[in-house]
Amino acid sequence: MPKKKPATPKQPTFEQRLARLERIVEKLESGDVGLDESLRLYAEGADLLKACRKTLGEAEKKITKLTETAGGDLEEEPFEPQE
Amino acid sequence: MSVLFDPNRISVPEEGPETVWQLTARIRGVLEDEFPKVWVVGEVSNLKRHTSGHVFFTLKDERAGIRCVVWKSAAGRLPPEMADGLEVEVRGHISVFESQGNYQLYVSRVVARGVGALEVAFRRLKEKLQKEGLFDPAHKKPLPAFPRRVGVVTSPTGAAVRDIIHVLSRRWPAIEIVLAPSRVQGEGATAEIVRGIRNLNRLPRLDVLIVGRGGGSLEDLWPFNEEAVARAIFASEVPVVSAVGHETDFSISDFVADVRAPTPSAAAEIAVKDRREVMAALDATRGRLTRGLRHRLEVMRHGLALIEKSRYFRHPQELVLGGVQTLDEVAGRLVASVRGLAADRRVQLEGAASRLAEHAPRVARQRASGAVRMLAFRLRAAQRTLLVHRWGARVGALAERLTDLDPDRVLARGYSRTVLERTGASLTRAAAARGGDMLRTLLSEGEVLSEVTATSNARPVRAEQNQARPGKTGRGTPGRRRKRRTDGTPTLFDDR
Repeated sequence: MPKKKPATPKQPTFEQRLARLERIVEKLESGDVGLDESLRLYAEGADLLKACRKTLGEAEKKITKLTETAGGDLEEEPFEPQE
Repeated sequence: MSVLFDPNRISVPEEGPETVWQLTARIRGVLEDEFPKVWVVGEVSNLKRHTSGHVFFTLKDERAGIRCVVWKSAAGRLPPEMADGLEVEVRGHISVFESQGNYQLYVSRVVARGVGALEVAFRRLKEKLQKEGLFDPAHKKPLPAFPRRVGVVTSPTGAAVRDIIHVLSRRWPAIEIVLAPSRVQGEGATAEIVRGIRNLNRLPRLDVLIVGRGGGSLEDLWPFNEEAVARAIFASEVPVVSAVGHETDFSISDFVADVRAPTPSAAAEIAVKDRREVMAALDATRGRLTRGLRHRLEVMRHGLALIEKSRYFRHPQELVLGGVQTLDEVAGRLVASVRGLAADRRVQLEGAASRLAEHAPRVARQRASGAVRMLAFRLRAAQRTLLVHRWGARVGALAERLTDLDPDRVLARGYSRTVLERTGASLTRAAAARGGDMLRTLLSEGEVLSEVTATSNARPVRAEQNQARPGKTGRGTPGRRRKRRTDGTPTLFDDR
């Protein structure tokens, strides 16, 4: 499931971004790329780094409790653990 | 049921309700009379050794349990392996603990019988499910590296849920947690746990599931040893982390789950990565990214520098001059060889003529000399033709191919030849000239006389459109003439 290139219209996951970033670094380190491609890869890598760090910076946690209605449907309500 | 009537013990109220104490005393009397000596087999659970020295436990089987009290005096005689799950035979008598209103077995003797019923059941179920393959590593799913939504099946109160939420939020602040609250011990717990697992599986985008509870006795943890729970965990499409009890507690859930955690907090640590560690890894990657690019650029720059350093790049005129020199040489050899050829032929001819003259009369001699003259003429013509045809074609071809090397063309492109007047030699090194020296520069048209004011050993300006090949280090573009030697000088005797 993890894709190499985030070229699909759906947003790539954090894991996909990380995988692509790792590949970019490997390519640059291996030396099989020309100048134009090197610069292009670097730019893509920098963008991915930024996106990953943004994800890590998110701090909104969301805790809910699952309840089942009479009809068997599932609902989520906010939940606060007792201290 | 016979009741011994002891008027001293029981006070029957004459009118109105009796007190709790009175009622309890009556009950006590009945029980003590009916059960002065009991001998019962069951399983020990909830064993507690009080600091006072008294020991308390519950003796139970699948359907019932009775509280047992071992006074300090008798506690010393308890079997050493006394522990929860142990099957024992107990002797004692029944009485009532008035303040609590419950009946208890006051123990006089305990004899160990063997493994408790719960333990047997545990072992049996474990074997059964293992045979079916529910514990097989092949069925275990890997946990997602970066889950966004975590489901939890546990009690909504208590330390376990608090610990799980706390650890999850600390490690990945943006995590979404969905709790399926359920009882985790006693009656009904099994069904609620199963329902919790199934319901969470119905949610979209649930990445991982934690099922568990805090520590307790084997009895307390029992729901997590139930077959229904095991099968629900096995059937879960979402990967399950089982966290039941303490480190040393192993439950059937632990065996079936995709990962076992020793405690609920550990489960949270297993489920999500610590974002600080991920951040650090990203920083390292950023370093590698920049270094990678820098390295690529260095390699290219280095390659470029090598090209710049190469001889023909810095002194492209050398390429030309080399060719010019070869041309001169070849022209000389050409002329010499033709002359030699002509000379040979003349010698041959003269030899033939003189031999002829010796043997022939005057007329013949005249004719012969005429013929000879004719031959000589024809020879010369042939020579010329030879020259023109054989060598001319070649020279023509050479001349064509050497147009680029024609010194005049070189000069036309802006190169010049400078001669140091003092020595009369071509000036190729700045160091050979001194301030005040006169220089004669031969240009494409005309020449210039100048005086040296200063010299420096700086590199010359790169020629823009030269045909100078990088020679040993460059790779050359495809499509150019392939008639050059590997060091760049043209070969004039290539057949192409």
